[in-house]
Amino acid sequence: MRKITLFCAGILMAVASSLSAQNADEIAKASYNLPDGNTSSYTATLTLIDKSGKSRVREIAQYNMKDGTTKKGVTVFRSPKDVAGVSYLSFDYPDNPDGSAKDSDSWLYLPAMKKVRRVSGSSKDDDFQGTDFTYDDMGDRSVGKDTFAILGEDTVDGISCWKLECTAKDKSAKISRRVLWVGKDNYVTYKGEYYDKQNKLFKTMECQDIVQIDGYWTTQKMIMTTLTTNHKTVYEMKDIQYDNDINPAFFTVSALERGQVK
Amino acid sequence: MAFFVLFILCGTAYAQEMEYSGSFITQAGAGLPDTHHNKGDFLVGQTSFDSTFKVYIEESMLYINTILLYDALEGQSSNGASAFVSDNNDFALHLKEAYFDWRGEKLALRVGRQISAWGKADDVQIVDILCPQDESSLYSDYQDNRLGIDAVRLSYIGESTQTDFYWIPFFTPSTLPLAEGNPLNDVMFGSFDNAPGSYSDFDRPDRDLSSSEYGARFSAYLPSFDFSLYGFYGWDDMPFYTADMNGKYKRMAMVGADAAIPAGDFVFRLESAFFPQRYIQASEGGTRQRNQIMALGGVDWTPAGGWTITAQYVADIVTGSDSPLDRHTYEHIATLSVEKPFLNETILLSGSFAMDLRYFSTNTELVMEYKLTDSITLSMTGEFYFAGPDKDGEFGSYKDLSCIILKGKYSF
Repeated sequence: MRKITLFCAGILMAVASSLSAQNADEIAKASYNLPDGNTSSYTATLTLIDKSGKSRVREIAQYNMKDGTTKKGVTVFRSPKDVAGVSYLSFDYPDNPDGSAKDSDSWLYLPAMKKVRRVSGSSKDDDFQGTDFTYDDMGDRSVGKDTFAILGEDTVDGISCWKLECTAKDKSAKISRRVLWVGKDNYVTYKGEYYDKQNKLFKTMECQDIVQIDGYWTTQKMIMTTLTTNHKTVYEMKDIQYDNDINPAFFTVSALERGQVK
Repeated sequence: MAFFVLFILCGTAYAQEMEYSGSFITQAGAGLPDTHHNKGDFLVGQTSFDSTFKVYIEESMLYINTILLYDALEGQSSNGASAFVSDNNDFALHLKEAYFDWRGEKLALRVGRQISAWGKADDVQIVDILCPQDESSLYSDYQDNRLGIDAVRLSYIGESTQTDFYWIPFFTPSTLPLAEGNPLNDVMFGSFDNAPGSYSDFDRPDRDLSSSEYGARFSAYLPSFDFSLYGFYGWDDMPFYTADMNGKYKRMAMVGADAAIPAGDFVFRLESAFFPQRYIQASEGGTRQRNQIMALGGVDWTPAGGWTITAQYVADIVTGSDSPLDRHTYEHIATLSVEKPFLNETILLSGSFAMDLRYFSTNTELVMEYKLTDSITLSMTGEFYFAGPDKDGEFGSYKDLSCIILKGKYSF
């Protein structure tokens, strides 16, 4: 009888684990696929604050457009002045049929060089212009880069959340594991913890000013803190518009080279 | 000048948006202990004010970039087209670019003095021949040394392609270190008794329609790779000398192609150009015409951690025998550069290395940049030139110009 009980318990655990894994994937996909309009644009201020409280500010303009299953994005730097006009064009594609992430197509325009440079679209683990965010943090990290599990449930500021564990498939990734607090009702991320290869807490993310704009959930403020250096970056969005009239020509290399996107 | 002031005033009166930006740079550099007569001498002493003015009106833009420069070494010289230089070569006013730009749905037009960069190579001139270089400045970046050309550029723009046609009515030569205060003057002309002193000493192309230059480029930006095709018919930007140092400019044609192919953390770059019957300087003066091919293979590697590593191999081949040319028929160099930011990009360390593979002469540049604030950048650069074991080689001729440069930059 005891053996049967243990056997049943084992089956139940396996089923629960399987269901949990399936749900984790679904939650991750639902979070990744949150509606954000066919086009969108905003400006963002990134304030870098070091451990002594000294701050530096970067300002960017961002334009996004969906072209079929391809997500096109242009980022233009407005400040600091020595990098003003630097533009980054990226085409992000759906994951490969086998579930692996597909490399983006990316181009970088440096006004000083007067030409557009093709850049690698595979590595988005690097810090974004000296901030505590990586290129992946700034965009939508492909679902194909991680495996998912639900660690439990929790509340953030009274919002009921799943604790979603995202483990990088790339064993050499700087951030090997992320734990995200994903809203049960809207699949929006409210908080995050980032762990390094030694599974030590490396960065934390706080999400604030989460509101619906034109029916789309929008996180207007994020604070990313790197614990090892006590350096943090405050990312604040403004002038947010969805389904607006953006010239499709913005998402071309020609527009970058002519300084058309600003 | 009055015309430009009027143009700006008229433009700003109707402008939808205006931008004014620029930088102030001051720098000084002195020769290293192994630079013989230059040991401890200042080899760089410049203060410059770079200002850019942009006016946007509907689909058009007016762009003006000027540089006011003071050179304590009195080493400035004009190429007769790009700058006003004071009589004692210490002040220069450069009109680097001044054009208007219009873009329609498929067509675009840019008219005026402008800079276009061709090719996929880094700091190596293969197909990048549209704009001449400022050859009077050894320590500036390759891209900063590009000079504007007075041109009309008509572009046809597709979704992932662009075709450009250039008509360049007025020839702009490279700027040479003609001023005696320029440290490069001694390297380039020191051994000649009757070296040119100004551009009036050169036999330049006539200013008529038949002397125009023409260029065309087709570029495609595709999911798996980018490629471009180029064609040019114009003038060589550098003069050719007779035995008694009379300089003359010669016609030149070029067809070329390049490609950039991303693969994971790597981007492979290829570039090649063919110059049919190009004039080549002969060692005893005069020229010979030979076919020339230049080709480059390079790779950019961006592993994690902010590292950027670039390696290139460049081959330069002319047909026929070495004699009587003032060069070898086969010359080749390799380059390597490494860059890494630290402390949230407050500090940037970079190093670049180039070696000519015939005589193994080298150039090494080490740079440390520190961002004091978002506006102020301080940097220290070490420029090291070494001759090859047997001969000076391509970089060894600059061995007495190795120096350390301190620089401050304020951007606004």
